[in-house]
Amino acid sequence: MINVALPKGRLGEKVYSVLDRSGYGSKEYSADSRKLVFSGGGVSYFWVKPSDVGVYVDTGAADMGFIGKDILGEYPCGAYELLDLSIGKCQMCVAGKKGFEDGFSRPLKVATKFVNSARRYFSSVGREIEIVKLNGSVELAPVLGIADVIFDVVETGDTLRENGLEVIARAFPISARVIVNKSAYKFKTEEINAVAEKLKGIVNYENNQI
Amino acid sequence: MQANLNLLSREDRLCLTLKSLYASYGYREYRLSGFDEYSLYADNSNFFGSGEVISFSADGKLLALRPDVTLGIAKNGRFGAGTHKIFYCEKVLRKSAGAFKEVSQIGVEIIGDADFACEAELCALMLKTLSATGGQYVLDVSHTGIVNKVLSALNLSSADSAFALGCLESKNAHDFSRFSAERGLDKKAVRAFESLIAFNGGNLSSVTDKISPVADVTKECKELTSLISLYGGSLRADFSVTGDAAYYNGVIFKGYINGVPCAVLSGGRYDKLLKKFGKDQRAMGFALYLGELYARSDAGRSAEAVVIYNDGNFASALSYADGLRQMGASVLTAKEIPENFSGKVYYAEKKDD
Repeated sequence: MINVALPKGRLGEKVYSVLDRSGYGSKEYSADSRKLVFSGGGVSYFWVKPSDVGVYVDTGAADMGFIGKDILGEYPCGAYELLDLSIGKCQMCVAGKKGFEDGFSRPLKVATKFVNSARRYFSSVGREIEIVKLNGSVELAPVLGIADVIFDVVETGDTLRENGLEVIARAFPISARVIVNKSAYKFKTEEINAVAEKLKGIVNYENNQI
Repeated sequence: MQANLNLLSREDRLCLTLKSLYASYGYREYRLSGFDEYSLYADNSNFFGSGEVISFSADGKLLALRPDVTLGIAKNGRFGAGTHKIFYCEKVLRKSAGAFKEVSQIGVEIIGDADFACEAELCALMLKTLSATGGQYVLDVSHTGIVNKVLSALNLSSADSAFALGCLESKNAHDFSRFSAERGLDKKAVRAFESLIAFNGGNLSSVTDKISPVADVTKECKELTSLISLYGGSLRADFSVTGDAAYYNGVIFKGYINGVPCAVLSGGRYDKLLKKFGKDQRAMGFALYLGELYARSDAGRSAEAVVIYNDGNFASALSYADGLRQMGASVLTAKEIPENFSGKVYYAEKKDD
């Protein structure tokens, strides 16, 4: 039996659907249920807050977890990252008001939920920044003048366009990743690899169909 | 009174067992000061990984509470010619996520002429150390020489090297593949590095075949193969085990126990650390992190019996408890039965004379 942490919400539902198609579905699963734990196919699942998936895997409560790269980049954990599921695809981007030009005369004010990832990205491109930590509606920050740019997840770009913003730079691609506790991997190698291989097969097959 | 070893905590019993094991190999116990100059730990924080150093000032000097044992031994130890084999059992103190943490470590160091025979002996001790914990265990081994040579073949900047190493440590083939395509890296070097990421134990020839077009790792692979053929089974090659290249220069190990979520043992060859302190000696060692091992175990062992007394009969109670202790029991004296006490309860009813 392996323990799997699923992120609550849209991404988790998509991930579970892939698991189901890979033969790891559970009769106990119901999209409408509020039950946090269910099992089937040799797997025990539990729904957790997306930002907590890494914690459950790191502490060994879950052998395997599914997590967006945006969250994984912000809260790095000491797990193996075995697979890119290629679902929930989007980009971590720098965006600003249309026509914004960075004058480099002072630190760039960056509004974001992803403070650690933003610091890492701007450090990698050698730009000094000042972070404005926000917990939501980040797109408002340049509009209201509290930041020059935002550092945020962009899926379709509709929200940016509707608020008069545009992408200035793409930091890194985001999609759902399969993470595995290092110690659990040593002792449940075959079970974990079997799940990862089946998932890989399904993802590759479906990507080739598109 | 004879010592009742059953009363020791699991951690203390394991320490005793391991000290006996190391002593049986002729290693001598080494004790070191609880603090040292702050700069020693601040300048070498990459050697012991995460955790902030706890510092304080005294007489105009900035000192630190010991966050790591090996650094202190490497810097302060006075080891003459020959091979010196020592063990220690110490507590280290670090600040992690805003909280002060005290962690027990027991480990072994070999300093001086630390040749391959020493490496093999160290490996045997690591496996026996993991075995002594009583759990199912695995000891992973890698070689910094192999990883560094393949990394050099990729010809990366230091930031990109750190990214590639991160991919290796997390067995992340997909991000490395994307990164190597973006950077337009040499395809042979990429294939060699990918073979390190994908390697999951078994025959090393699957990686040497891929590495040979870009680097000569014959000597390093022979070293790994020799260790694995000596101990096999629970000793497995895994290149996701890495260490800071500024300190480690040879084999490197991580040990895992089934049910413990992180590595409980780490070790390797760190000749470069000795060189940093101006010492022309070789060195290797390992440490078992007892805090990680017993982080989930129950609180200390409770007494087997309690003798309840009141203000008028405590002398009788003490005497009765002593009698029970002489029979080998661990006995508490108390005015009331402790909460959740599961042992035997005796009442000293007789009034003191």
